[in-house]
Amino acid sequence: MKKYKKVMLIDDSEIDNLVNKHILSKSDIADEIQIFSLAQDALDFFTNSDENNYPQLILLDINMPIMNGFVFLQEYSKLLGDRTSKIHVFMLTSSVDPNDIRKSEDYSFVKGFISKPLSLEHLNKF
Amino acid sequence: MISVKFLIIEDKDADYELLVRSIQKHDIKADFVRVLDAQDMRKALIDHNFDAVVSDYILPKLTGLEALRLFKSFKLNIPFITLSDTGAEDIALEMMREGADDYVVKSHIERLYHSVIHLLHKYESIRQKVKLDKAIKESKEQYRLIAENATDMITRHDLLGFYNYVSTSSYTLLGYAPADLLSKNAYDFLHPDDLEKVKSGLNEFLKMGLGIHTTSYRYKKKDGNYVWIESTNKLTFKENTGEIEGVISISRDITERKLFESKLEEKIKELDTFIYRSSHDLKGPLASLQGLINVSKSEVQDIKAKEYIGLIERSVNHLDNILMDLLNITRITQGSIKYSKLNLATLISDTISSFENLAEYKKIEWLLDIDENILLITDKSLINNVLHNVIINAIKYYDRNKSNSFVKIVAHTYNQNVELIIEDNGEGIPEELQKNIFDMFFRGNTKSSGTGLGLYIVKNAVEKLGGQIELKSKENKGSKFTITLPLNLEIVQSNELKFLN
Repeated sequence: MKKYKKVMLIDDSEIDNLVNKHILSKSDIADEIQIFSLAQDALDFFTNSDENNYPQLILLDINMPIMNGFVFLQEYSKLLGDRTSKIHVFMLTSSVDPNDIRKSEDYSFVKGFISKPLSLEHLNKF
Repeated sequence: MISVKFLIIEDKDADYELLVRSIQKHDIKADFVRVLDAQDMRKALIDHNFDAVVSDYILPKLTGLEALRLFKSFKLNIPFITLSDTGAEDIALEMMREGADDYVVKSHIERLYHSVIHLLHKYESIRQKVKLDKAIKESKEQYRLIAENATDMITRHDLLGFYNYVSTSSYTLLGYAPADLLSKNAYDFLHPDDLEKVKSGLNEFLKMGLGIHTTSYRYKKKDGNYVWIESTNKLTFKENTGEIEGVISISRDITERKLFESKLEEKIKELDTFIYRSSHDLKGPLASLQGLINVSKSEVQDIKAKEYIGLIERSVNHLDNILMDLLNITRITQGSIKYSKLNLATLISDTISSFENLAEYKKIEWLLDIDENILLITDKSLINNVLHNVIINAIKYYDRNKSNSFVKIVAHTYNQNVELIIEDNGEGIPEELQKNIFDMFFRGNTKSSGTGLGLYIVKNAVEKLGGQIELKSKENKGSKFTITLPLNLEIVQSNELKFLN
């Protein structure tokens, strides 16, 4: 398991954020866990903050209100350009739709697709 | 022996005697009625049914010509033969012109018999022909009545599609009078989107050259709207050469049926989407619950609470199984097949090892007879679904009363197919339940904790893959599933190659 300075969770579900935060902190995978329950807020963070504050790993939900995971990926890709290569994104979702898996594979910086719930075994993938 | 009744018009006794004798010489039952004048002749023609009339050409009270005319007025279909003396052939010829059938010279009276026999045959065949013509006419009339009065439209067109017969029901069906369509081309009225399908279907039919061909298409009515028509076609052949001449079609309006079909299709699609969407939407909160349970298990110390969490987890996992099965079903019914080249032995051993953690696994002896080299081109997720569901049943329903439980898996290829047999000596399925075993939500075992979807998924997946599944089972003896799947190795040659890994 790699060790990260910062991991970002983007998920609208409070419970999932609670569970995921619990597992991540227990595993000691990151020094800091940053949580956004709205994808737009996460985008704003990337717009407004210094590159040094960027996470090295993002766990992204797909099915979210207003801006879903795929729209986020599009905007995020546009916004960060080449800088996306430094940040690994994993889709973390309850979706088991093969189409969703395929769609997320369009982005080279998306490194995997994890079915909820997140467990300690998943963390070895990161 | 034939019997012939003659009407003889002859005044001279000697001639009459000769005549009668010349006939009676032959093997024939002959009756004679002799008359001398017009009045008697008329009466005789009314009273009797004669087969032939023989008349002298000159009589004291009546000429031969007059006798002939009188005879003709009765319009009988029997021969009239005139007698003449040698040297009076010109009169005889005149009689022939007037409609006598033959003349016999008295000095050769023996010819009369042959003339009569010949003429009787001739008249008989004329009578037959008249009868036949009448029958044909009646039958034609009958067919015309059927064609004109049927609600279905009956048409005949040649090989290029030009109509040469249209029944009057064209009016009710399409708004055209038959005359509007005659010598027009049927293809000109077809909906452009249906034209190719109908043409190629008919060409196939012509190539085959026999049987009945049914096709449906949209046809432009006189008012410009299209109507869905279904036609049943049959070929017609030239009588003498046997060549295909054209096509007879019986056509009916199936618009209502088509509308109903498309509504039904829509509903089925809606239903599938509903299952798919709701399963997906339920999956989210369920995954949250599973996550929470995982966290609770590691955090909560209280024994009672841990027990309850364990029970919640079992319920949640059961719910998860149902959702995954429902999702699998929608994937099987709606999804497209993604082909890849797979090694069957590997698929089977992977499936078996996925069960290693089950308690029952260790109780079972695994007997495998699988050709390591079997490759098939199929959908990985579907075939894994099949293997998983069939094998897990064999494990779950092993017979606890037996000490030598086994699951035997045999696979071999034949004729571009693979036959996969999964056999166990488990509890088996009671005979009365076997017919329902592949039904949706059917659970054949009271101890079953499953979703009742496993074998339904298996059957649908096998059929989607172009295969078949068969069950043989005996209660307390065991079950044997035989699955046949196409190897599909020829697909490699087609464009689908790009989908292969």
